[in-house]
Amino acid sequence: MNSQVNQVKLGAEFIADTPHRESNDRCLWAARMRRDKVASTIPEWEQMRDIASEIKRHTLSHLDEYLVKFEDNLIKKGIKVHWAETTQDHNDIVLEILHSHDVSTLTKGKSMTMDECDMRQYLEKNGIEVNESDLGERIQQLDNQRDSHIVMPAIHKLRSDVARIFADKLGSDPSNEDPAYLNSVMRADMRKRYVKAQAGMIGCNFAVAETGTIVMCSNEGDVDICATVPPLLIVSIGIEKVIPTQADLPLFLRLLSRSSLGYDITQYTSHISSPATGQEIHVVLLDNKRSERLGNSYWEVLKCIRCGTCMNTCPVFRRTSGISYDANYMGPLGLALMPSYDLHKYARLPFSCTHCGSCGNVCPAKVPLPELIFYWRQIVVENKQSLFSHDLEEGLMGMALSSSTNLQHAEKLGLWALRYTPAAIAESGVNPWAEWHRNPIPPKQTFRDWYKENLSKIDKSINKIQDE
Amino acid sequence: MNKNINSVSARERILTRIRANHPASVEHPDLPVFPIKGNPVNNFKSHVNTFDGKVIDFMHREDALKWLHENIIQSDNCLVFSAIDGYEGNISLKQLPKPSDAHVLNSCVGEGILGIGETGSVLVSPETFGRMANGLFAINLYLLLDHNKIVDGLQDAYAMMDLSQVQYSSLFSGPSATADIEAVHITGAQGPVSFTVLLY
Repeated sequence: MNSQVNQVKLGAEFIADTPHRESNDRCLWAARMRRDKVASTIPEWEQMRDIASEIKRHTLSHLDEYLVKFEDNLIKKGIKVHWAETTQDHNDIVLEILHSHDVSTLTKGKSMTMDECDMRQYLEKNGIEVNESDLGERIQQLDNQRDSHIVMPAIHKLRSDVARIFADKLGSDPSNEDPAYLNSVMRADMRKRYVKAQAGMIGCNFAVAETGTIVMCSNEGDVDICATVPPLLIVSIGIEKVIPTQADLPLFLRLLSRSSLGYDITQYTSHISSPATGQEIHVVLLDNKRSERLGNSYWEVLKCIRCGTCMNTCPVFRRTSGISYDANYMGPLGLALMPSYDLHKYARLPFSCTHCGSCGNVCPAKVPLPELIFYWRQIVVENKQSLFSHDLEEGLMGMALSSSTNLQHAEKLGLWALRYTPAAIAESGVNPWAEWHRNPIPPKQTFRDWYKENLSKIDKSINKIQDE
Repeated sequence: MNKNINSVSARERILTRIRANHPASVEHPDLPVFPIKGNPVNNFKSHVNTFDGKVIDFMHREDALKWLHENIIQSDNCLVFSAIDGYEGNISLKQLPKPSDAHVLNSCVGEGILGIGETGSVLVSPETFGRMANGLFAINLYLLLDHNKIVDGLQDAYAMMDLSQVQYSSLFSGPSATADIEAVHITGAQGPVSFTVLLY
């Protein structure tokens, strides 16, 4: 069981760090509030969510047709298409393309698909210099830490952390923590790297089958630079990113940035349909179990458009940070997705949820996240991947709730334990509740006993009210 | 290229699995065109400002050109590329043989294809800037735009485009920006630091 990700433990470490926890919570909640504000200005918002969900459901139920159409249109325009079944296949394909072009240095835009493949690490091991071009992603690269959010990779960090990292790795002034200064350090450093890059790598937000168009949404301008400046471009696309037509695209664009950060659109929304003169473009279509997910009851997780709003709203995520999930996909999306990659490793994640339902309420594509998280809890238990202590708790609770008699006994036992358990035990680590709470003062009797005793008085009171 | 041979079979295996696992067929829903409230030009100006851009109004295109002549400094240390008729920069595409050479540009001037009231976006293409890199590396971006070419919303804009016929196009909405450090909004991330629309 030691190989399981322990989000509770990692989350507790982050919670104990008050400045980081407060900053993380404040930044993410601000994004959520902006999302609510901007969505409230659009009367058709909920209708758009319904339509987006149906377009995704339609696309996924005809995925083979749309992928083939997308591929055909890319090939017609001179874009080379590769299919990767696994992350290893993906990385091998990318490395071979780079080797065949003698590439030793490249710039890379933010891409969850590439992160899923641990592609940067793979290329670096094989002697390729990879420079992340997104500021947050670059911070995480220089700090050798995985992303904490799919849209804001370094949002769990404080400006002082970034100042320290940039001073160590880029030689900037360690005492200057001004985000504008730190951004200028990044800008100056990346300019040199863009100039010498032999290849660019990017992800894709939407792949339009009808036109064979790769659509990218970004704010910093880095993705467009990666896509247009070097002579070689490699685009990694998860096969679920395809949408049927150009007419579908604005609907998703209207939802994406507003859901993600609360802004009407990203600064750059760009479309590639063919290579520029002298440019070579390769597209790698990644499966990595997506085609298997399609046949399972959790297939609607494939509707996700990677906006990150489920993370911004999640009360657990906001307090514990994305780092605590130790996974490529974190927050509610991670809970609903990661067990399908490795059930044992991510068996505890679906339990890091209060079931408040907020993630499902804000998802622009209506991915049924609360239901999927509950589904994975069942699968984890059925496959005996849950913790013994958890099974014991659940078993006892199930026994107590299975009959009225059992519940009555449990109530009396609980009251007895509350009265007579020595404080040294009741307030020790045996009782996790007591770490953050004071045990309640034991009442004189159980509620059931009190109710029985006072039933006649209650009836009289009710009758009096009704008579009045 | 053994991998290409493998890729072909990988393609077939992936498509076979997809076909075997398809959920029950779902119809594509009707997609209504949602109206955008307000005057598109006013909406456009308001949104450009929201994104830290700037809009300057002119009666005629000639007035916008005059403004460019009077306000953009050109020198050996201030290189300006222009892709529009009526305003010359001090560096040409020939002097920028590679896209990456554009990193020396101080300013870039182009003509937007259309504007979008809903988002304050301007549609551009490589032709707008002579080459995309010019519009991405320049510190200051100036875009002329005919106010008659501003449409209500994103749906209207995409109805006018044919993505299949365009090599590259982009909706630029303000200067480049980031909020990756403690969500502090900063303009001038990797692309232009300033974004000015000369609206005529």
